Amino acid sequence: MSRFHRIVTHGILIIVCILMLTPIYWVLKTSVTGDNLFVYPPSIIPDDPNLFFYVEAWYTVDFVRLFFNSFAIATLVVIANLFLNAMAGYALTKQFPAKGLVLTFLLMSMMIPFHATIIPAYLLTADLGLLNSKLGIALPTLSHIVCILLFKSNFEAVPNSLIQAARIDGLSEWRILTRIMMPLSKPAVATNIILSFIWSWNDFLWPLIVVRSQEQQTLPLGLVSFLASFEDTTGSLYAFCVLVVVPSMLVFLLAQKDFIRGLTSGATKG
Amino acid sequence: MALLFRKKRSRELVFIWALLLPALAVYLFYRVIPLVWNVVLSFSFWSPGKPAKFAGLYHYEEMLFYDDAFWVALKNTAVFMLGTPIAIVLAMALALLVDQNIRGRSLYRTLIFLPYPMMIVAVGIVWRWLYNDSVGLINYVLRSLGIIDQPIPFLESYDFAMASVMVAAIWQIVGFFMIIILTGLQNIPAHLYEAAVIDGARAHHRFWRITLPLLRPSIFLCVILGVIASFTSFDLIYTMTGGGPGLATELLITYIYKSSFTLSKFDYAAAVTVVMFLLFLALALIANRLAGGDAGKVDIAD
Amino acid sequence: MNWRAILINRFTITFGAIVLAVLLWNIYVGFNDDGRLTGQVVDENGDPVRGAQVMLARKTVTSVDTVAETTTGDTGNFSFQNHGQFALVLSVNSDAGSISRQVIPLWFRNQNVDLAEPLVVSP
Repeated sequence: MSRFHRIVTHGILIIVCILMLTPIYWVLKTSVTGDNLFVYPPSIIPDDPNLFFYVEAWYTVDFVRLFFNSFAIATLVVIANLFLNAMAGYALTKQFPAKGLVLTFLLMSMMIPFHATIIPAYLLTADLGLLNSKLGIALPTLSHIVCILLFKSNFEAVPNSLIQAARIDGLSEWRILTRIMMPLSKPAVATNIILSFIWSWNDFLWPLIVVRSQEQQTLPLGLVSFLASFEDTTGSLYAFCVLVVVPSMLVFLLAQKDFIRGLTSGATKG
Repeated sequence: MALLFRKKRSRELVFIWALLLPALAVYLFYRVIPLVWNVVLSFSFWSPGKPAKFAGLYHYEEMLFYDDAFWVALKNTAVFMLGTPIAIVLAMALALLVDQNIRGRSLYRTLIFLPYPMMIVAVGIVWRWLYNDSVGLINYVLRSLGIIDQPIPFLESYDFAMASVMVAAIWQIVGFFMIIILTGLQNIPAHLYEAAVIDGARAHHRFWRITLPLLRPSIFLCVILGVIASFTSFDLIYTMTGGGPGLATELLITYIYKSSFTLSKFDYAAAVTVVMFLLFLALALIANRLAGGDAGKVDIAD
Repeated sequence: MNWRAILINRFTITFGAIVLAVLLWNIYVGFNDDGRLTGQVVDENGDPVRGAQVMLARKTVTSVDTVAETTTGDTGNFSFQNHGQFALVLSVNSDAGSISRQVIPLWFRNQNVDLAEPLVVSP
């Protein structure tokens, strides 16, 4: 590659990265200064940064309760996803009658976006008496079909001789799944955790429908009601945004290598 | 011996179904049953606490012939979908740049992907404020560069509101598309390019003849994701514009939410949902056919 | 799976560090949240102001209202107990002058504060 070509590539990529990062920088900056909410022209460099807006946001919205609601739901969803998807994925690597039927059922369900079923899903949850409860919020997302297929393709890549050897050693099928298959499919596990965590953490429409009381609010709902009561009048809103975004970013950044590997194997093998 | 084998086999079957059932139950209760229920609801008169009555095509007639808001929402959803090809072209260009052997490529990749895991509600709030007419960064930059004289209230104007929301949506999704296309690029066998170089094919020929055809599954996965996003971008609209000004940014999903959960017209909203679902299905099937008919590849759908 | 691999990986270390930081922070807060506020009021020449009225207000995102008040002693000193605020909004009224709504951000609710700088009133 020529030198000129290289410089142009870096130049374009740097400009794109600046464009991608500007909104993130801007919200960070306002969360530590709170200025240019009323000031024009806005200042580019933070002037006298402090963390006061974080303290204010923390006490204004009862952050701990919102965080624990979101966290409890996300934990439930991630654990359930890990078990249900791995179990279903492992079952689908075996031969049994009606396997084709099950696969068709899954592929068909995949073509139903959850958003197209919210009204009956709401009525159903109401009939189950689970409105305004953490379980009610978590239920529809306890399993993602994408992740089942991901586990299936990862499990199929495990050498058969290994499984046979384990059977001869007298390991039960359940042990084979938890002790051999799961540790060997780390990218699938990572992808499963990241996707189910981020989707659960960021979910907004379903909690908005199901949650009725302040006690059960999750972070996105808290953020929206904060916005509704104070509009854009305070730097605390942006401090709150930063606090809410940090956990999912952290999870992604920590696991991104396995995540991208897992996604690749899923998208190519299907 | 045969009996023993059969017993073992049936135990294995029980085990398999025990593994499958929890996941299947989730889909049965939260995908399939609601879908059927939704269709039934769309053909009946029903409101909470009252017995259902058969309504025939009443809601569909009202929707198609008397409800202008539905048509506006439908048109807006179609416009919103146009953001997908733009995002795909951008993502493709970025993927080709990042796929080269340059220093810091994994850093670039991470930075461009960074907006995707962000909570959409927070993204909406941040962009809403970037677009602000008196203190927003975008107006400031445009004014400093001398492009405009007067600040533009982007989200309150009929002309700009939809485009503004689309820009925010593209900003968030483009990194994800880039990763999908990038994995597609890396799966193209290198020897194809080597052969093409030996045959004397130029760079743009290699792109049109090798890269693009082999990227088809990745691109159509992006198309599907974009189509889904245009049907499900509730969070962004809710925080940025609330569907306004007027109906300028009302999508089908926000219209469904409003008719059902604020106006309690559940039966009518169910009919709109059926139309939305059928549209989604048609688009997904077309995209899937174009991608080569491998449904397993059309995943990552939420 | 051995214990070493479970203990030393980036997830355990990151989240462990966060949990540890939160724990230490809470211990620190536990020892410093009696809500004590002490300070001194002086005039422009640096002389202590006696009998100045010091008002403490509650700050929320939208409003400010007075929650407690006291008067300074002979040396210009004043103190509050259990102020219960996460941001101090102080106003001073005296013969020598006044201060209106000086904001002192704190790190947590009811933090102990000993103002190092005296509050200087100006006419």
